[in-house]
Amino acid sequence: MASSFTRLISGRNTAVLLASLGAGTMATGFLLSENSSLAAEAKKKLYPPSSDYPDLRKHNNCMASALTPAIYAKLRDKLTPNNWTLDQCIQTGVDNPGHPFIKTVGCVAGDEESYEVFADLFDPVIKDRHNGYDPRTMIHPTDLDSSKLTHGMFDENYVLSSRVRTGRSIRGLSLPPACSRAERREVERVVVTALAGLKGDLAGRYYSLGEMTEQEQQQLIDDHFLFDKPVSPLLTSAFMARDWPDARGIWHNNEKTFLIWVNEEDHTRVISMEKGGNMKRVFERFCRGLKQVEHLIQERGWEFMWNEHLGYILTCPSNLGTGLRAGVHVRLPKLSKDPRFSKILDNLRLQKRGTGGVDTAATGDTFDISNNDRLGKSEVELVQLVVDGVNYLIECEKRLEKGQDIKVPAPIPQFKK
Amino acid sequence: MPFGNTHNQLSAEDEFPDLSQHNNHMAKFLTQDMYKKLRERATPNGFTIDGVIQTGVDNPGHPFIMTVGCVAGDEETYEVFKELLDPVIEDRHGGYKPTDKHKTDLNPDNLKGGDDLDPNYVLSSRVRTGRSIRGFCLPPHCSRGERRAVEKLSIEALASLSGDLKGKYYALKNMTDAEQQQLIDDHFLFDKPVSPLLLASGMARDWPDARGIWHNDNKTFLVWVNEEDHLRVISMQKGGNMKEVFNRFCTGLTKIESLFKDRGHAFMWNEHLGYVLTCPSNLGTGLRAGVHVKLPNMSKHAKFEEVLKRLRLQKRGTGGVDTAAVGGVFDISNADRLGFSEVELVQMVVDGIKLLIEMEKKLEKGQSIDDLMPCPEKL
Repeated sequence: MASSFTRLISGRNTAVLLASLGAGTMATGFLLSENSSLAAEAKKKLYPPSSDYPDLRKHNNCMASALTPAIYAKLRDKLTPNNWTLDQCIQTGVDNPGHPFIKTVGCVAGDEESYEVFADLFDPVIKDRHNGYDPRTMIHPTDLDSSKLTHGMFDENYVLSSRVRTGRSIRGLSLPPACSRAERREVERVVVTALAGLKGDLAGRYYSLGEMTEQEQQQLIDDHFLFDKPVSPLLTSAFMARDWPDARGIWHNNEKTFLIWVNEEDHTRVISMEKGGNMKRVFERFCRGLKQVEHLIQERGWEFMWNEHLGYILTCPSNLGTGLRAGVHVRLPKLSKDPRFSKILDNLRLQKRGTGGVDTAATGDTFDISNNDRLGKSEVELVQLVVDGVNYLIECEKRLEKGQDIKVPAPIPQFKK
Repeated sequence: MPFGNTHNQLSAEDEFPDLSQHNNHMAKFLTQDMYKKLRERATPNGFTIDGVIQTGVDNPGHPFIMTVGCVAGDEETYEVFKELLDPVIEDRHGGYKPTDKHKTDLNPDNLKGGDDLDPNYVLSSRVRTGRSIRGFCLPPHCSRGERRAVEKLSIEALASLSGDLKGKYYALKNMTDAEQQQLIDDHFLFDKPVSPLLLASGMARDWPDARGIWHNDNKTFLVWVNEEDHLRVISMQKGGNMKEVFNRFCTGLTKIESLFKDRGHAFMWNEHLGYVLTCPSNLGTGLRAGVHVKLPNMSKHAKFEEVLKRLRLQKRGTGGVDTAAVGGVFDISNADRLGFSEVELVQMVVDGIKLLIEMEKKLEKGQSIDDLMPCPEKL
């Protein structure tokens, strides 16, 4: 059923403080009951929020910028309906101080309700990460009508491959940091059942991480589809790697152009990709596939987490809104050496990565170029922005080839009025 | 882990972990029925069965090495989840029964000999244990406030030590580069755990907050605060005078215990489990007494392992647990922790090392060691 599960109160807030009793006796545990709330009150008094406030003096992440002792005091003892706490949201940001040059997010949601219960933290984090977007007042546009995309065919002398990815969460089930094994298995069941209903060019197969054969594993590696247990401390500190590889897997269509990761960093990551420069077709398949999967889960009484302020709800606040990264692998040998390259990308609201993905360096002259933004612009707008931007970059490259000069384009505005 | 979500309305069957690939003590004993029963409970601090077993679920283990696969989040864990922990303890500690009593003996006068292990072979001697402060959650489950309270209490208590035990505390997050380098050179510094066994249990949260190292001016008595346990206490020195090391160990521990008592805090202890620590493998004495000893010939002998087994000793590399020996130098220590007193365990090490050195000397001369073989292990 799609409704959220109720939970008996448990967790760290049921606390008896033996030290205050001073008896030194070992109390046996008890079946959960309302008596535990008295104990929780005692512990709260002995450990006021100030005693638990994290030391963030060496930290550079959005959570550390936004969190104050007052916010922490207000939110420390709150629980989401799934018993998720503020301390659990921020653990990854406390454990990973960040880098002076790279500002990580530093907090995650354990469930859909986290963004509301802990809004006093998440709202400023969202503002910081998403160019001033205010979830209290602004509406996020969702638009998966791929027919609106224009000029989506790149010059294949430059663009080697095209890709669009996003994530989707199943409403009513906790997110990867917080989910129990049963919830994670339920996500897998819901998604795999739905995917089995895809037909035509979208028909495909599911490979469970724990059960795949060596051969299947090798094939998935060769196709660059396989994901492995997270090693990044950003993710492991957020409790996302628990119970690995239970209920994790990879689904892809027979044509290997539509791929879904189950229970990695989000409930699902959805990827449409192909060699060459036909971003229009990649995006068309992306939208069609997403809509069909949504329809298939709705038939069984499930839906995606979404609301009009935050768009699609995902684990990391950086992926709210569209959760969309549309990108290409593109050769830009001359432009990449031009000192104006970074500024051009900035103004086009694009980012560059190495061809190994986030946190990798470029090899040779081939770059992964994709949109910076996720929230406040629709899917169509963001993919159009990538299409227009990459076309511009290719124009620059061609001009430089001919010895002509290039212009830095005017910066693209943040949000529509 | 610092949360429990076992009390949702999903069934125990759906929540039960897949342990089919696993080889650890937890996986050996946890059944679906047991899990179903235990997930209805929580300790008074809210620690649940999922918190106990997470490290064992995430780390299937190794076909040759049997890890424990479960941890305590507080003192009550061992009582509330005894259906699981009793068989784990029995399996890990040589058949120790739920009704057995553990003897504590920290009187160094009861140790016979041990002051004259041959320094041509024994490079250094060391005794370590752990202590937990009653009333505070253990590293897998403690809050930042609790961890800081443990640190504060420890600093106060240790500051009162005097004589050859007088020393200084170095907080991990405040130390200067120079202090850090010195601690590394002295082999005192501990770092953020990297072992997935520890990380999966939640012990590395908030690093390096409230973690630190205290040592005496002589650098022979060392206390780690909030690493894998509330306190790890180490007495060590170069050479083979294990008696002196153990004297200092007992004196220091007894002094620290009374300093904590003066401030209204006892160590976690009971007559069945002895000293209560985070990992079930360290219950009882939590004691590992060992030496770095040169045994180039003995270590190549076919019967080396058998001798160690009969002496109730274990070998490690000189980098500590999970390292290899370098240059024929081994870390040899007691294998047991629970069911024997501190004096008994150190005696086993002293007597065992004496014998190993005798054997080494014989092998050097090309003689046989058959007549020196110890009796088969007494059970």
